Amino acid sequence: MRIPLQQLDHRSSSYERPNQDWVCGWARDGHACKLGPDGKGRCTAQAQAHCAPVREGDRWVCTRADVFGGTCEQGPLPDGRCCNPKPEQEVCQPVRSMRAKRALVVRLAAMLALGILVIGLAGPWRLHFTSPGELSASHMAIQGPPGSQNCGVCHVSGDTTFGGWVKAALMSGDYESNTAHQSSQCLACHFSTSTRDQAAALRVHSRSEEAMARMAEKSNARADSNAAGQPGSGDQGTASPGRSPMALAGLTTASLDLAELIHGKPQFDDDVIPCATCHREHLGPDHNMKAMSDAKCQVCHETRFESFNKGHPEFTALDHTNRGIIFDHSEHATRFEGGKLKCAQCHEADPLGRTMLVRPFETACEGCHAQGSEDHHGDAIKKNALLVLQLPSMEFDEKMYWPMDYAYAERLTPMMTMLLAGDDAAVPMLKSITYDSYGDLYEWQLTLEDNDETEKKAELAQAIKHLVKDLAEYSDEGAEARSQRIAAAFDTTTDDPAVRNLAAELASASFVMQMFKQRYMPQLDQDMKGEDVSSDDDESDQAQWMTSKNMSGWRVDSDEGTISYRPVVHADGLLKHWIEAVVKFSHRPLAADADALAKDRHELLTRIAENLENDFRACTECHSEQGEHINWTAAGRQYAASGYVKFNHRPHMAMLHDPDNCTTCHVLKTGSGENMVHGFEPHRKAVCENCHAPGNANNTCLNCHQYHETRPNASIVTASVGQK
Amino acid sequence: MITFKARRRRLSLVTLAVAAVIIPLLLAWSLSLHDIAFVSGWTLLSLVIVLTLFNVRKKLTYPPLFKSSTWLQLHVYVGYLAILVFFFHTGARLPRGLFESVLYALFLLLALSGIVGLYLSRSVPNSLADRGSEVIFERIPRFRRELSDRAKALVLQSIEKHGSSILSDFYSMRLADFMSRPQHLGAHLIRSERPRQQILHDLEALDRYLSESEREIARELTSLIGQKDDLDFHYTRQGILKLWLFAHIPLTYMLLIFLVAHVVLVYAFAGTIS
Repeated sequence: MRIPLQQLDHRSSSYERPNQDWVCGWARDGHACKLGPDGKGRCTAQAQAHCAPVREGDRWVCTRADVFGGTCEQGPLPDGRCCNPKPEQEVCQPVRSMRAKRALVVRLAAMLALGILVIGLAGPWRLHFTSPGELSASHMAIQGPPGSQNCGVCHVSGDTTFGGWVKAALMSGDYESNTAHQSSQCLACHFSTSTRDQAAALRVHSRSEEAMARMAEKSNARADSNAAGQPGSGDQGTASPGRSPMALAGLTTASLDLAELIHGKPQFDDDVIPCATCHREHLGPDHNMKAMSDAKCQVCHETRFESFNKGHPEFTALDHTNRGIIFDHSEHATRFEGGKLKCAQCHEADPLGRTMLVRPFETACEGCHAQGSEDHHGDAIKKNALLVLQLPSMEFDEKMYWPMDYAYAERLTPMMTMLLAGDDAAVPMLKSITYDSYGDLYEWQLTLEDNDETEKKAELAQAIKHLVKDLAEYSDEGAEARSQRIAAAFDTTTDDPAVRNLAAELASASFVMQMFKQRYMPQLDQDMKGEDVSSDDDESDQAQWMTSKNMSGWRVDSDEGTISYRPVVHADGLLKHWIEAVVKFSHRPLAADADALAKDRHELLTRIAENLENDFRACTECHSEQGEHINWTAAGRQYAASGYVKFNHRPHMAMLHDPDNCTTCHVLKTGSGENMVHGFEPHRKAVCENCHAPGNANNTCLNCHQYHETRPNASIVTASVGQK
Repeated sequence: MITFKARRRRLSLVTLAVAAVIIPLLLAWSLSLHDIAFVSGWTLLSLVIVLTLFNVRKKLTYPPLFKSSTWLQLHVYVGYLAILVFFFHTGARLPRGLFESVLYALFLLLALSGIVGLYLSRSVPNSLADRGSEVIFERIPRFRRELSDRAKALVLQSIEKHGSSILSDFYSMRLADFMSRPQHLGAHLIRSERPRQQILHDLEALDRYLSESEREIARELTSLIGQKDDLDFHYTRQGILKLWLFAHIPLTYMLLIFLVAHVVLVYAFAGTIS
C-alpha cells in the first residue's frame, strides 16, 4: 500500500517559496517550518511561536494562526502577554534556496569573467592576451620573435591602453583614421618603389574612377560585339553580354544578383578600398592573404559569369598601349615555316619563368639584320650620316669673321636648329627661316634684303659662332653653357635627364667641335672678344674621320665644312638621346602661361619632331613612339596585355614536349593589320579550357588575373634580356 | 490542439526559413566587399541578447509579454539560429588568439549546455511520469522524512509486538541510511533500478525467518522502499533539470561580458569597411 504523499489542498499542502532567497534550515531533513526565514536569512521560529493577543471585552484572546499551530490551549497570560515561552520549532540556520545559490554562482562567474578581462587587459601582456592570432608567413618579420607584440606597427591602438581602445571604439573618427592608418602602413612596404603606385594602390584596380568607367564602357562594348556574333565571340555559353543569361545562372551569378539586389553596387568612400578589405591577417602562417572567391572578384563587374568554363568571354586582341618593338611575326612566317627561325632564338623565359623575354638585338636580330647586310635598316644612316653642324652660306654687307669658302649649308640641320633655339636672340630668326622661308636659307636671305633687314644675317652668324664656341669649349663653363642651351631650347631645366644625356653626348664630342673650330674659325675666340681678326685663315682641306673609341662616328669634313655623325653600332647613344629629347619635349603640352618665346621654341621643336620619323626611319622602323616615350625595348607582359592578366610560361612550356611548340597557343595570323598582336591571332579560350576546368587545373579568377595593376614591390620585369 | 511534434516541425521550418533569409543576406553582404564579420557579429550579438531576454521575461510578472512557454520556444529556436550565425561569423575556423579562444569556448559551452538542457527538459519529464507520483521538488525532503518516519514506526512496531529484531536489524543495517537521505543518484541518472532491487532482494531473503504478522510489516516496508526509491528518482532527475542552469546562466553572463570587450577590441583594431 502506497502512502499518499502529495497533498494539494490549501490547508494540508505547505506553501513552497522557491523564489525566495532563503529557506528553512530544517527543510533538507523535511522539518521545514511553515513560514520560513525572513528576507535577510534570519530564522522566524521564535516569532512564529508568539502571537499578539487581543482583548475581547475583559478577556485576552490568542491570535496565533492555524499554520503556526492555531490557538494555544493555555491562551494569553492575564496581563495580555503570549503564554508561549519558546517556539515549537527549534531555531534553525536558514540556507540559501537553489535559486539564490544559482544567482550567487552567476555573480561569481561574472566576477570571474571581469577579473580575467581586467587582468588580461590591464597588464603589460594585454596585446598578447587580445592578439587574434599569428600573422601570415610573409609578415612574420613584423610580428617579431615569440613573445613580442608589435601591434603598433599596423594598428593605431596597438600602442595605447585599454582606455584608448575604448575611446577608439567609441569615436567613429578614430575608427576611420585607424582604417586609413593600417592601409598606409601596408603601403610603407608595398608598392614602395613608386609613389604613383602607392597612391593608386588603394583605388579600385589601382585606377581612377573615370578610368574604371572607361574600362567598364569598353568591356560592355566588347560584350555587345560578342553577342552580335562578331569575330572573337565565343561558342557555347561564352556569349555573355552584360548580365548573365539564365542559361548560365548558377550559384555564383545568383549570389551576385542577390548581392546587387540587396546592397547595390559596392560603394567606397573617396574611391578608396582599405587593404584589409581583401587581405585578412591574423589567420596564421599558412593563410593565403591573396585568396579571394570568384564571386567577390566579379561583384563590381558589369559582365558577370559563372566560371571560366561557363560564361567567361572569349579572349580578345590585346590592347597595345605599349607597342614595344614593332615586329610582325606574320611577316616572318616564311622563315618559321622553313625552320630557319625558331621561337627560342629570339625569346627566352625570365628567371621566374613567367614572361617570355625578347633576347637582345645582338642575339635575336643581328643575325639577319647585321650592319652591311641587305636587311639592315641602319645602312641608310651609315650612308647618310647625321649632319650635326654645317655653316650656312651667307653674304654680309659689313665685315664679318666667317669662313666664306667653307660655308655651304643651304638649310640648318635639325640638331643645329635645336641648339640655336637655346639662344633667345636666335629664336625669332629660326622661326622665320623654318616657317616663312620653309627652311631655305637662301630664300630667307632674299627676304631679308627685300625687307631691308640684312643685319639679321650678321645676327644669325653671330649666334652660330656662339654655338660653335659653346660646343668646342672643354671647360666646365662650356659644359654648363651647353646644358643651359639645350635646356632653354626644350624649355626645361638642366636637371632633366633628357637634357643631361644629350649634353653628355655633346660633351664627348667637344674634341671634334674643337677641331671644327680650329679648322674653320681659328680666330673665333678673339673675334668673340671684339678683337680685330684676319679674314684669311689657314685651313686644311683634308677630310678626316674620327675613329678613336670615344669619338667613333664623328667626322669633320673639310670639303663640306660639316660635322657629321654616323652611328657605328646598334643602340647608339647620341641618336637615342637626341630622339628621346625631341619626342619627349615636342609632345609635352605648352604651358597655358607660356610667353611668345616659349611658343616659338615649341613650334620649332614640333617641326623638328615632324621630320624625325623620316630622318630616323632606321630607328622608328622597329622602335615605336608612344606619347613622350620611344619604346627602345620589347613590351613587357604587363604592358602588352592588360595589367590585370598574369601568365606563367614555365609550367605550360613544361607540358609542351616539343620545345618549339609555342604555336599551340600562339597562332600566326596570315596577312597583316594594325590590330593584330604582333602578327598573332587572339588567344583561344578553348585551348586553356583543355586543362583549366573543374576537377582539373585551377580555373579560378586569380589564377590568371591580378587585382593590382602592378604587383606589390615586384620590380617591373624587363622586356628584353640584357637590353641596352 | 496542436501536438508537440507538429509544433516542433513547424517551428523548425520557421527557423530554417529565417536562416535561409539571414545567411544569404550575410553572404550577399560579404560579396559587397564589406567585412561580413561586422554584420554577422552584430547579428549574433542581437540574437544573444534576444536569448538573454528569456531569463528577464521569467523574472518579470508584468507586463504579460506572451507566455513563458512561448518564450522558451523562441529561446530554443533562436538559439539554433545563433549557433548557425556563430559558425558563419567565425568562418568555422578555430580561434588562434587567447582572448578569442576564451570567447569561442564560452559560446560553445553555452550552446552545448543549452542543447543538453533542452534534451533534459524533453526527456526528464517523460521519465518522471514513468516512476511514482508527481511531486514538487521542494517538498521531496518532507516526503522523504514522512516515509522514513513511517518505516521507523513499522520497525518499532515489529519489535514491540513480536520481540523479534530481524526487521529492526535489517532496518538499522540497510534501511536507515537509505530512508534518511537521497540515495543511488548515479543509478537514477541512468535509470537503473538495480540498487532498489538489491534492497528488496535482501528484504525478501528474510522472509523465511519472519512470522506472518512480520511479513505484513515487511510488505509495508517493501512498499515504502519503492516509494522512497521513486522519490530519489524524482529528486535526482528534477535536480539535474535545475542543475544544468548552474552552467547555462553563468556562462551567459560571462559570454556577455566578453562580448562587450570583443566589440571594443574589434572597433579599436579593425581596418576594413564595416
